[in-house]
Amino acid sequence: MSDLPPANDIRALLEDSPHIDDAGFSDRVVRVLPRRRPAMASSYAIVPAVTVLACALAYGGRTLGGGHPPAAQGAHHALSLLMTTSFLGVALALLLVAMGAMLTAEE
Amino acid sequence: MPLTDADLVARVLARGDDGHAFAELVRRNQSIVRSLLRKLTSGNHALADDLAQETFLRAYRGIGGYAGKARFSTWLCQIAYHAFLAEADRARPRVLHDAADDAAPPQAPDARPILRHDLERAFAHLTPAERDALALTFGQDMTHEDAARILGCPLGTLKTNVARGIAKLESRMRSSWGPSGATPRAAGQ
Repeated sequence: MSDLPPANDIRALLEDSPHIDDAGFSDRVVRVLPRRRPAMASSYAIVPAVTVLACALAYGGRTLGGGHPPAAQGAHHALSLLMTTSFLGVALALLLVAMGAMLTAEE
Repeated sequence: MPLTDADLVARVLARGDDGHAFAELVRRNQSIVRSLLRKLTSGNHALADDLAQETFLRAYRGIGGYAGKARFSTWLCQIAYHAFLAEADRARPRVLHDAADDAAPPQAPDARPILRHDLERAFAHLTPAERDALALTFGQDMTHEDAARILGCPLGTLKTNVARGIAKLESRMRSSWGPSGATPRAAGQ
């Protein structure tokens, strides 16, 4: 009971996975795929634009508001400048990423 | 230079897909997914194709989650396996193995297709752990590590289940085909 021919060896049979003919399977799958909403190029720019606007408003409001003692006001302005610069840096990075994505999508 | 699966995935993600890139992914991987599911369903080809369709639908919806660490086909096999488990849960205690598929396939000049059919049916006599281990380890071009990760079991357990499964299949096939490997029909003639 120990000698099935090599062609009938279970391991070989398991390993030998013949290509299954497509026979219209792929077309049936593609027909039932849900439609994807096309990516809007303008949506890539919304986040950076809103960030820049918010930074500008925040910085403008602080500068015009005033009312603090000169030393405290100086420190406050320095801190605001630092934060604004950081925000602008992030916004610029996001903008570059968005532009890259748009260029890739248009290829 | 032909596009790789990873290139096609990137196209599906970047373009919102016009359908062509994903269709090509389906065409390239349908055989491996359907073959896996035929083994898991013990040769129920109709159910295997339904589950394969479900697999590609899930893959399409969740393609953003493909990290690119494993091959795309391995990722698809993981989805297929989970689709099969979900179906098995839904169908319990209904048997997944369809009696209609018990009929022997038409006589072919080459015995291997008949052998394969019998082998798929013999999967019904394995435990789920043995069946899953064999289905994922053979013919899917997948490493044992990947198969163990998909099944959520240690590598040693997977290897044990593979060895046990093969021993059972061998015993089953020998009893139905005889020691010489002659077909029952041929032997009866």
